[in-house]
Amino acid sequence: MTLESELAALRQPLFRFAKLQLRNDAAAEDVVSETMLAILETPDNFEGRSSLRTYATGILKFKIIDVIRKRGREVHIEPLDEQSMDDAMDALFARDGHWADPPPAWQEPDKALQQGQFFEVLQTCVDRLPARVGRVFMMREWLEQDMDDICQELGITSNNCGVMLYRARMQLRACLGRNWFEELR
Amino acid sequence: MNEELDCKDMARLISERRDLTLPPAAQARMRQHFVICATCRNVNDQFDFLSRAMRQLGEKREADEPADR
Repeated sequence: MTLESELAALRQPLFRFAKLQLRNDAAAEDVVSETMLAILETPDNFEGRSSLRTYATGILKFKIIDVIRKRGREVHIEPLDEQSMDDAMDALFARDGHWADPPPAWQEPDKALQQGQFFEVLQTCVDRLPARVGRVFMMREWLEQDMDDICQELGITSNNCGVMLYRARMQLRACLGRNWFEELR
Repeated sequence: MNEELDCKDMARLISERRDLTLPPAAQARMRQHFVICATCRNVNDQFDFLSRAMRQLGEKREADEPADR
């Protein structure tokens, strides 16, 4: 396979991830095209040490971060209604602070990481997060950005940021529990 | 300050410590709670797993695709 055709096969998955992060088709198309161009212009930089997908995803991440940085200065993200968010989380716990429905341990979770189907489920769970919560979560856990950078770029307080990450993790935990690890309800 | 943490406090802290360094006192109180609470250990393991899974999202596909190269 030529580099061109391998890259062409990656266009769709790269686009999906960019779109998830940027929530905008045109912007996602742009970063994917830029990523592919960057790879084609200097093919020697890709020496096959990692898979092409990993290499391309790494470049894509930086392109996405750039776009978010520029946007952060232009678009003000409305602060979430922290009260209603806390209320939703509160429902998971009894008044005494115990879990209403204690999460059981997951059986052999690392096996899931070997299965493509698991990542489809994870993707669906992430897609279901409210837009702003999903955005912060992806910046933190997928783009692996620092908290300070995230808060600054989005113009939100670090407490707000922390609450959104907490909410995202709790929702994803429940979503994976229900849809993959077959937690009993 | 010395009140014991409940599971609700713990859930928030388990998330928070993935993003920033908690004060030593909070870390110590968390350790105490982990010793006695399997549920919070589960949640901690699951958040940890979630991070690992997210790092692989978008990169881990080769494993289950037919070996064509």
